[in-house]
Amino acid sequence: MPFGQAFRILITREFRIELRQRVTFYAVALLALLLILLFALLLSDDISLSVELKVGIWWSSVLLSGIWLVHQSIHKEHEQRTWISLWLAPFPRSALYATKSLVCTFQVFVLAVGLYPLTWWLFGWKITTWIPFVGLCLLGSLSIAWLGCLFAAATPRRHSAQWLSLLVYPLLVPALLCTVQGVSAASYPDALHTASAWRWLRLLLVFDGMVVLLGLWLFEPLSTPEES
Amino acid sequence: MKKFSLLALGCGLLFGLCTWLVVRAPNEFTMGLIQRIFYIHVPCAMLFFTMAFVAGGAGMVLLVRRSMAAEPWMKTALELGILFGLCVLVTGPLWGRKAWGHWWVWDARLTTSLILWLTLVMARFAHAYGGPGGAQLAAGLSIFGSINVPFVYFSVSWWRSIHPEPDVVRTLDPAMRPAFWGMTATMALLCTLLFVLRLRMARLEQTIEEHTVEEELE
Repeated sequence: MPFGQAFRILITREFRIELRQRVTFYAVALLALLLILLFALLLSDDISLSVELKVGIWWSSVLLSGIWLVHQSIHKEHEQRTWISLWLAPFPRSALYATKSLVCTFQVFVLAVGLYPLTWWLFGWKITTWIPFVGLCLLGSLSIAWLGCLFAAATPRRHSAQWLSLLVYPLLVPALLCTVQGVSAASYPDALHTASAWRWLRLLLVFDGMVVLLGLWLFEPLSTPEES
Repeated sequence: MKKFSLLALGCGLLFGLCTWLVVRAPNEFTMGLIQRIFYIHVPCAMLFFTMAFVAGGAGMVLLVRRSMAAEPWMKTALELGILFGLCVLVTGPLWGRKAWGHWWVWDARLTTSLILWLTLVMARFAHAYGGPGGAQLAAGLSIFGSINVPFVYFSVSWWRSIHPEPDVVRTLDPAMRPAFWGMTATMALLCTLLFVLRLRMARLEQTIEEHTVEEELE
């Protein structure tokens, strides 16, 4: 089956499933909310926080909950034995990976943008240039979802949650740095910081480009059981 | 084995000669004696990157061509990458303490080097404890680790960094060059020696594992 046709079928399926079973997204959103609230409680009003720290708290919450979302998304497929059916279906495996990752990207992006008002209210962090902010959120979500899906599909079934965190966090550090630094720069009104935000966005774009290309190429060999 | 003993002896003699060259090299103008750690730090970094590339290449062969012959190569490169990476991460702070006044700063070069080292450690960990499919996971991580190498190398130019620029070797004082290149050649020889020995051991381990599986099946 051609990639485009498989992609259309699979993306519809993924969105339908996520719309029907919203429980994972709600649970993950609640986790992210709790993390932000915990940080707000720990760091009381009398401590003045830098913008970078506020952005760091927000993005760490997105990252932790995003990885959990990706894990749940793949784990659900394994549990309900749909993954093996998809694996046996005549779809190009890269289409399977691309659709799963895209749906996860969308969910992580919604989570990131949705958490911003709460962070703004609790920590008084205000965005001044919106376009780089949205771009950085989107690309940051993309790196979490695409790297997460690639390794979630390949990790040993038992203890997969622990494995996924161990494997993916070191790889995600460049994306984490780019997003936090870029969004922090987008929080200042001057032109110098705006230019810096765009620079971080471009760097993240390069990183994500490599992740997507490598992911599409490696997904099948990485997830196929070893022949001995 | 005799061949290896001779190579090891040669390597030891070269180390002696290079130590003498390092002692004789002139003091650097601003940092003085502590700059001599450079003769260990930079060759180790070169080998750290090389081993990351070898592990990535072997990982690619393992995943794409499904060739288990690449597994010992990947395993060996990962272990030596971790070893030389550790040397870089130990000698760097020793130098930094004297040069910058801090053991560690969250500078771009230092952070990306640590990430690369952690990736190699995770890959080896996945290989050892990942069970069936652990080698594939390790291969995937090794490939991602090897694409991080250019990021580590160019991080000094891309971000504001207090770490010296990569052209430091090119612009080195001619009087310091024999000590530096001598030490680099010796370290490369030591790395090759360790690589060949470990590769041989890894292949034997693989053969034993295959035989054990066959016996269990019988």
